[in-house]
Amino acid sequence: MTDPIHILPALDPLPIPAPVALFKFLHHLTLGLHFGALQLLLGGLVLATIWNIVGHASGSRSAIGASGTVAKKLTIVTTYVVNFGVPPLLFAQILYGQALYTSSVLIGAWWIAVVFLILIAYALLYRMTTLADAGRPWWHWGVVSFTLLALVGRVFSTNMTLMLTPEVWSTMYASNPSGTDLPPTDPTMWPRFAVMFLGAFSLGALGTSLWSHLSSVADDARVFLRRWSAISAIVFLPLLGAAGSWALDSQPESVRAALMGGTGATLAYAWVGSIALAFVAALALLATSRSRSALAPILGSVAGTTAIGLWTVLRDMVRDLTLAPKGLDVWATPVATNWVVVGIFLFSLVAGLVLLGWLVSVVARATPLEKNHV
Amino acid sequence: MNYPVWDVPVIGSGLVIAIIAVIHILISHFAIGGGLFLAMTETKALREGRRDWLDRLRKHSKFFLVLTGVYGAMTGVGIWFSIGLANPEGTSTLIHNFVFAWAAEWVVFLVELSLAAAYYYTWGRIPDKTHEKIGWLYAFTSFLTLFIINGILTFKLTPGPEWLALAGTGREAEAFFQAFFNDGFWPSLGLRSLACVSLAGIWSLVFFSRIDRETDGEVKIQLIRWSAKWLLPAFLLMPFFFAWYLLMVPGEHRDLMTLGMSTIGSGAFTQVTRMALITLMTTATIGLVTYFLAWLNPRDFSFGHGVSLLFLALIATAGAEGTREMLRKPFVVSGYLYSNSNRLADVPRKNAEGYLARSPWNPDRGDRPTVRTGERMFQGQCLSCHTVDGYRSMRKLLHGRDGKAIGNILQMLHENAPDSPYRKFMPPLVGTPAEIEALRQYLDILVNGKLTSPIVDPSAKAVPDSVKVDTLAAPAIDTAKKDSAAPAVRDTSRSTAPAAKDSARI
Repeated sequence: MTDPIHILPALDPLPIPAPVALFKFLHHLTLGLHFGALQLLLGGLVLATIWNIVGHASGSRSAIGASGTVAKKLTIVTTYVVNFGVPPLLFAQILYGQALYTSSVLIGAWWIAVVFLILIAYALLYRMTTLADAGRPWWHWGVVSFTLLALVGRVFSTNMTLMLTPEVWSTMYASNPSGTDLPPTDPTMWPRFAVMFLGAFSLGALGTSLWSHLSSVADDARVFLRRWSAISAIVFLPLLGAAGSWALDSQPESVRAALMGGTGATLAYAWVGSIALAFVAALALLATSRSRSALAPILGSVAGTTAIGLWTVLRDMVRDLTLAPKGLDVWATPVATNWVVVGIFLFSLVAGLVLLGWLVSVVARATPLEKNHV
Repeated sequence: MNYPVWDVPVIGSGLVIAIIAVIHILISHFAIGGGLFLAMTETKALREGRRDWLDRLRKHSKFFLVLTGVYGAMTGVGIWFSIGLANPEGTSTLIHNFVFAWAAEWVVFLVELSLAAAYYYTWGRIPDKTHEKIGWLYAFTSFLTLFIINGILTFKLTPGPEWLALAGTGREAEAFFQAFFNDGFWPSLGLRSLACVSLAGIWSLVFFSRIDRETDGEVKIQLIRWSAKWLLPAFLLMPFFFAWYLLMVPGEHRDLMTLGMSTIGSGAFTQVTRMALITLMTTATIGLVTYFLAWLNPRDFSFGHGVSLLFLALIATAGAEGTREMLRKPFVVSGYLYSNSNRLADVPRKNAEGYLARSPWNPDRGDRPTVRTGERMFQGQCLSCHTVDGYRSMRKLLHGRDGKAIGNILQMLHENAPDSPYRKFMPPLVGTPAEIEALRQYLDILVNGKLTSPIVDPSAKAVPDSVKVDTLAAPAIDTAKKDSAAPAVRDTSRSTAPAAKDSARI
């Protein structure tokens, strides 16, 4: 086996244009947003598809109503999944380019296929919306869309794992420079995948319950949506906790010891705590499914967002602990900051958020579609 | 060879980028020009009390949202993914230099997408003035995304002396603004803005062509003519901006185009000139089709006519982008990074110590080069522009040449003399004589199926076996080993000709 230190490509001779800590912060922030939107999308898609099947099979208006409510939101959620996915990958390329470009090339055909898989899945969501508006069944498109997105998840999990294992790169490249192989699974790959998808069926499900408070949702659909979102979360949250433990156990001993010997342990316990809080919120949501109270959905979403944020940081710590002994110590990256440029970016971020805030206020004040006068 | 090279059979990684990019540009430029179109058309309709226009515009905005939000956004991500695969080194350079420009563009794009969604979903649900304001804000933010990305794109051809002076010092960030507002920035922004406006017209012609001429003939005439007008600015101003752009192109790059122009008569003009001509001809055809079919006969303007115009626009876009990319050859970042990921400043070092000396992908590390080394040389220095059997096929380009002739070509590429016909569009071949010999053997076996001339290390003739014949293709090696001692079996008379014909083909 080749010494992994000598298989890492050389660092880009251009220093990074801001401190590592700033890039890390921006990476965590945007990746957390991406994961949150992603879990909402995947969880919402699965629940809505199942409800659509059940609704059309049994003639349940509440199931069809709830499925339509969620389905119609998924296109806009996907917009943000894609959009929030851009900056974390950009910042990861800055911080871990030596590893990330390489692993991407090694599965190049799959990596580029991701774009087309998402594109088709995204277009199908619009198709689902059209059919839902017409009151027709659309679950078959939901199944296809979810399958494509699951495949995208597999490719992403593989790439994010492969970038941590330079010891296998040389052999992979020698056997297939076209990148058509999705490599045999690393022990850490499926736990990574499982956390993301079980998170979608639990934390994402709790997020969908927030849509039950839209004024356009009929009472029976609202109750159905709250009840079954809660049940999904109650079933899958323990499994998510187990997957988290699996993800930790699957790490090499040195990584696990370093993680649990430092602040990682605190974060891991906090993650378990937030999962437990989300579980309590899910129980409360089930108990109050007939009520209009937004307390349980909000509590569940806050707990879920916290869990996702903590997982994002833990995941990053595992990456650093894995790569550092292999020659990529991200904190040693040369830096040459141009603060004016950083300032312009931060200004654009604030200006953008202000504009988005105004836009949200405008949309919130919009009259329902029935009063359309155009 | 710092990163592994993504080997895309037949089409090559460059064409993967090109295919995605052309589709993206056709849509993303509409996303920018279309924003202005929606805002201006809504304002005009409100001012003139044309409620029938507004109804059409609402439907248009849904088409716009889906097309730009789904296909435009995803193909944009596709370009980013594909450049990272095809040229990690170049992508890394751009991202290290412009990460905050990209990040700012992301913020603007986030706002832009939200505005586009809000624009469609709030038709008739908010006061007209507020809706109009959302439209204009969308137009502004979408133009801002063009403004930002234009700085990054133009940097590649005209990075400017200030940035180049700092390149390699670790102080490149100090020249951020000079790099961003480079010589090509303003003319390119003008050209792209005009393209955006005309594409807004073309896509709108496609959309409005479906209005029923029997039931809504009058509104169809109005909207088709209104859309057709959007092509006018491009026809009036593009020649001016194009001339300005050409003036800003560094002389050595412009030579590629003038070389093509000066050899049109002999039929040997370069690809870049051909592409520019295709763009010119299709643009002229778009003008004629729009005038005769849309402006003079708006009522009869059909969906087929609209799609035909779009197809012409696709060709014109492909030609224009191809011209821009070709003009930059042999660089990814002019004066800094060659298209095969070798940095200009690293060439002397790599020639002295070896192209693969520090490469993680060197198959013969610490040992003398073999044919496997030749294969890596091919992957690292040739595959970014060539394929084995498809696009710019190496087998076809070298067809009929024996090992000695191949060696002569490689030597010419390595020397990269000022009068070399290849110098204008091909990076120098980098490496030690032994590595180049390994590449020669690899190509000889690739093209001829066996070694057709003796193994020679040009730098050490006293040790002709300094290059071990060993390859990944075992049967070919055996043949090669057997034949390696035999004299050249093919006519090598072409070996010294600089293959002027190829200069036009590449």
